[in-house]
Formats: sequence, structure tokens, C-alpha cells
Amino acid sequence: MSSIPHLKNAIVGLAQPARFLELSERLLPALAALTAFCFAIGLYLSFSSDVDYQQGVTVRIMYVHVPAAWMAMLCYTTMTANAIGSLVWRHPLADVAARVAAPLGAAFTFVSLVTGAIWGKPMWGTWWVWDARLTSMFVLFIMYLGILAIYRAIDDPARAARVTAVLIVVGFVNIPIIKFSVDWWNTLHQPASVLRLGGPALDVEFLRPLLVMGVAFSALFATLYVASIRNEIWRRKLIRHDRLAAKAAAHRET
Amino acid sequence: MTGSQQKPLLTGRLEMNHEHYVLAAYLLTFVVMVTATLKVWFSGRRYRRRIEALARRRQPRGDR
Repeated sequence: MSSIPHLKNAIVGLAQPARFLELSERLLPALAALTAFCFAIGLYLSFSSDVDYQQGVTVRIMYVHVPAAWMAMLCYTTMTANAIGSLVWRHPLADVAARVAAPLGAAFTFVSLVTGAIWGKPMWGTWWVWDARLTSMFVLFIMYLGILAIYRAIDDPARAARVTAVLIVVGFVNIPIIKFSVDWWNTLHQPASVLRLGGPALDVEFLRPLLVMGVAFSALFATLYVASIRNEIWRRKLIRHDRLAAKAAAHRET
Repeated sequence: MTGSQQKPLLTGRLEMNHEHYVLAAYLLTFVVMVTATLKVWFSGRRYRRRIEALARRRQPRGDR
């Protein structure tokens, strides 16, 4: 019964930058070790599993392409949750968390797009087609870049946070479009074969390395995300200090 | 085209076999991920050093 207020206190406590910094110091080594361990196992499974009877060895591209696409969408979802937190509660840590997710999401989306093109060339005979899945994923990449550009263009962090939070929340409409594009439209891209209602359509031989690489990518995302939030907290602290120091110097001169 | 008939990858026209595509995809993924990790790590190190230097400068004033 008393667990709910306890949990609420824990979350509120975590949302304090000083508490977050303390926690991140303890959490980051464990997350980094987990990432390295999962990548080692994932890469071993990726290259030791059987090849597909039709695709041959190119099926191995799936073990980096699919987790990168999952992370691209997870990153945007995380960014949206934080943008809502920033808009509704004006919480500075929510703004920090939304801001630092954008470059990570852009990197995962870029990997997903390019590895998809590399997989597409031998399988479809072309690097790129403007079908619904590929186009919606490309739109996601452009949105990440747009969000990054707005953050850099607006000097006032509070104003930048408000403007981008609105854009992020509106842009979330693209996430279900990406997910269901293969069901709603006729696409060259194959339909969902892992995250679907009837259960995974993949054989366990392919599913095992894919899931382990999925965990590895998630651990990498968590590590980079926590470290980036910590860096952004420090950066803002230093900017505040520099501004105060400049103001004090100007005051002394007058 | 069999492996023996294939032209070398870096000379003449780019002819890639399936292994090359797999290698290219993994290389690209790891280059991007390692670059992102290094960027986060180096900026963290730079900020940490500045924060620690700031704390050291403030420390003697607090001790007085």
C-alpha cells in the first residue's frame, strides 16, 4: 500500500538534477559493462547463426538494421514523454532529457536508413525506393535534424525548450505511421515479423541474435542517454557560472 | 558471378558480393556508434574537468 507514495518520491527525487548526477555516477559503469557484454554475445550469435536459404549471409544485416530502427523510434517516444513533461510541468530535467535524445535518435535513424539501403541493394536490386516505410523513416531523420537545428538556433534555453517540445509532440504522429506503414500501404519493405500480434514470425535461429542485439542496442542507448543528460546538466551549470562571472566582471568595470 | 570471376572491390567498377554488403553494414553501424560514444565521453570528460576546477576554486573560500 505504501509503495505508491514511495515510488512517487523516488521518481520526484530522481528528477532533481543533483540526485540524478549522483545516481548516474553509480549507474554508468554498470550500463557500460552491460552494453559491452550484450554486444559481445550479440555479435557472436550474429555471425555464428545459420544463414537464410534465400537471402544467404545478407540476413545478418537484419541484426543491426532492425535494432537501430527500434532505437530510433524508442528514442523519439522517450523524447516525446520528456517534451510533455517539459510543456506541462516546466521541469528543467525533462527539457534536458528531451534535448539530448535528439542527436542519439538521429544517429540511430541514420544507421537504420543506411543499413537498410545496404540490405536493399542485394535483395531488392535498389538502394532506395520511396515506399511508405522508408519515406516515413526518412521523415523521422529530417525531424531529428530539424529539432537539433531549432535547439541551436534559439539562444534562450527556456524558449528553445517550449518551441521544440511542441514540435516534438506534434511530430510523434509519425511514429505510429512508421510502425503501421507496412500494413496500411503496399510497400516493398516486408511487414512486421517480430513485434506483431500473432507473435514473431521469425525462426528462433534468427530471433535469438536479433533479440540479443536488441538488448545490446537498448543498453547502448541507455548508457549514452544517461551520460548525455549528465553532460547537459554540467554544461548548463557552466553556462550559468560563465554568465554570472561575465556579469560580475561588467559590474566591477562600471 | 563466382568469387574467382569477381573484380577487386577497390579497383575499376564497384562489384560487391553479399559478404561485402554485410561487412559494410556492420562497419557503418559500429563507426557511427563508436563516434557517438566517443563524442559523449569526451564532452563529459571536458565538462567534468571544468566543474572540478570550479569546485577547487570555490573550496578555499568556503574553508576560510
